[in-house]
Amino acid sequence: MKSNFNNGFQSLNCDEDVLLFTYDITYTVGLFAELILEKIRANVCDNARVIGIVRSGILVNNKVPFELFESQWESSTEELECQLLGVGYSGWKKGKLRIKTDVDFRYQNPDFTAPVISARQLELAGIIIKIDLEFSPDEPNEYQSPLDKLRQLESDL
Amino acid sequence: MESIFNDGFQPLNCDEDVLMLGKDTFVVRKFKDIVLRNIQNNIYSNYNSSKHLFLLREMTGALSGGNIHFQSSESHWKFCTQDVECQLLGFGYSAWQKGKLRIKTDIDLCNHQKVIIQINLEFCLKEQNEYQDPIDKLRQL
Repeated sequence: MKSNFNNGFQSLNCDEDVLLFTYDITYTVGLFAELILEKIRANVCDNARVIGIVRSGILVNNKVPFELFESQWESSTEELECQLLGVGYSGWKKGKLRIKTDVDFRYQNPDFTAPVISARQLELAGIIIKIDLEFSPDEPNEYQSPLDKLRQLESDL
Repeated sequence: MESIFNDGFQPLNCDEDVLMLGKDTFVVRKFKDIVLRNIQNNIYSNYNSSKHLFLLREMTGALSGGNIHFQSSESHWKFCTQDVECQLLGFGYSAWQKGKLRIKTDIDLCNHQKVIIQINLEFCLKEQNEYQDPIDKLRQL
């Protein structure tokens, strides 16, 4: 899943940038990330029984227990067409968006034994969810990050 | 989870080597098979078997944010166990090697035909200096 050549995909780090889907559905990157995160939390909460599975170790011959040290889930979605607009952009950038998810089940809180049913309890149970929105512009040469623009302005002065 | 310095752990690649845990002995091939069955029992639980697998997939499967829906393209559950004391014996070893064993897995949940379970056993010698790779021994001969 990790690759140096990320097929032109870059992380969207600016929460203020705007994503445009189909004709008229827009979200700021920040809100969209929050909505996705909420959905993943709900998925994990809805399937609380799974947490027992992903935290159970291996018992060899009913005698030798191998407790889990690390347990995590990595996933990536298919790409979806969308457009991106940020401060200083000359127009909407057409491209593709994908979401990478990393759910870490390892940090077990020994004081926490209740079934996981809410986002707050997920936190208490020590389940860490990370997401990454990645965008690949259709015309990479056209892309210029706001930071690069600033650098250019500075060198022009 | 990935590290260049693997804490001295090396993958056990020879299926014919023998592991000893307590008094129990296993050829590596057999041990991997036991681990595999353990995982299968976990993810296809005895009751309501397909349901559990379904839950596993659903948890990080398709995603939506607002009105926008994404299909899943990759989904891996990876885990690594804690170390367990064990001993290892292979061809050309002058004695049982004392060390620690851990299990690493990569479970691919995205293939809809079947779940692909990859198991890696890793062994770390207790006394690094004593260790001599069988190939090094051959070279020395």
